[in-house]
Amino acid sequence: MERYAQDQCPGSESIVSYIYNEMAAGDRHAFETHLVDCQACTDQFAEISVARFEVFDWKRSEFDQLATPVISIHYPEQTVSIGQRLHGLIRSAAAVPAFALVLLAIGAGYLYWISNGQAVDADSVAANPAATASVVPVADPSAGVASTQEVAITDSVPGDDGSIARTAGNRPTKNRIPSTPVRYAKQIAPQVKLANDVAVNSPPATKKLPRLGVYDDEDDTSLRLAELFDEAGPPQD
Amino acid sequence: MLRNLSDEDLVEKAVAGEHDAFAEIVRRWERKIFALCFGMLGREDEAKDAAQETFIAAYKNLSRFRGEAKVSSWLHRIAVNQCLTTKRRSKTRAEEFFDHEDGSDERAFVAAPQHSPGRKAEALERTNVVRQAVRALPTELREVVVMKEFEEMTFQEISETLDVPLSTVKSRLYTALKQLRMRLERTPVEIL
Repeated sequence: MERYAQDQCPGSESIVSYIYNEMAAGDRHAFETHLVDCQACTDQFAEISVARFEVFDWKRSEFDQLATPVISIHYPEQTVSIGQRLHGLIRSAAAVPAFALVLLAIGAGYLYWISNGQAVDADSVAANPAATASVVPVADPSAGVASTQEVAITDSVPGDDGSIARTAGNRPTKNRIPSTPVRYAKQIAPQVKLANDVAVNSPPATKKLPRLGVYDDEDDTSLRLAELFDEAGPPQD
Repeated sequence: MLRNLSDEDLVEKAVAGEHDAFAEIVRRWERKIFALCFGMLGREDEAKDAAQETFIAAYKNLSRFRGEAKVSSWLHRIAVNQCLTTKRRSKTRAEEFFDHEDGSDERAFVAAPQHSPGRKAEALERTNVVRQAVRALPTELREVVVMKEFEEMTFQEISETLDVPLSTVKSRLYTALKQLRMRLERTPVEIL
């Protein structure tokens, strides 16, 4: 707390600080105590108080009763010059080639994917010929003639010309390799020639398939396809 | 006739029993004493009560006025003591108010505003005088007065706004008020 000696008066800063109530409580008390003892400071304080009150009263009487003005700011309309418009057009025109490039890139990627898909199909054909070739001929030296052996193909339906019909995974499309029609009971070359002249080697038989003429089940008296072919004889073209 | 007499002469007459002489002292000094009380108390209602108590105390103690000091200084001293008494009383009442939360003993006394035509004319004249006095201040002093009184900014805010030290702001405001006081003294308002 600030204390003022008898011969040490507070300065002008203390007076305005006190009048405008911006003095610490302890300092206010010291200032008031000094005012009581110091006539000069009391008169000085009274002068400043009067001047301050006159300004305060002037403000109150002339300004406080005024209604708060409604401030509206009218912004000028923005006029776009020809140069600015051209600049905008150029900027938008620059975006068009960029967009076109993106479209081209997407198209090229799609075409590459399509062509790569064909290669994949061909590869898959090479890797799995059973999916396209429905019949795998196996030479039977013991029988003396070439015989055919059916490979397990689901959903196979014989066509009118005696060929094996399409399977679910063997539908001929524009980009697909058509299956080779094979006549039954005909001597078949050991290789299947695909339509697009892609030679597909027969895979090695990993599982020994039963021959049509050899029956393990002697009790089975159902009609054998091979016997039907023997009875019918060779087809007449 | 009394208006031409000095303050000291008026006191002498008042001590002699002329009540009008003391009424003239009150007329001359009521606004300034009220301003002093307002500066000390910061509240108009309390300042009015303190100013009234000041003149009552002065009237009761007229015989003790020796003439060694000016009447204005004598009144200032009475007013300062009265304000300090009012502050102590207000503090006590505030503490009592918080002790008794109903606040039934707390009464705000605000003097009725005076709307007489003479008072209005006086106020209008005073407004013009003060406006001209403020306008005549140098810019660096006027801006501090406007920021403090009209914008109600703190000294610290003014200091930051003007980018000047805090002590400079206070000294500028003190100087501005001092100059205003001198200008108002030179153009006194006719009190009706």
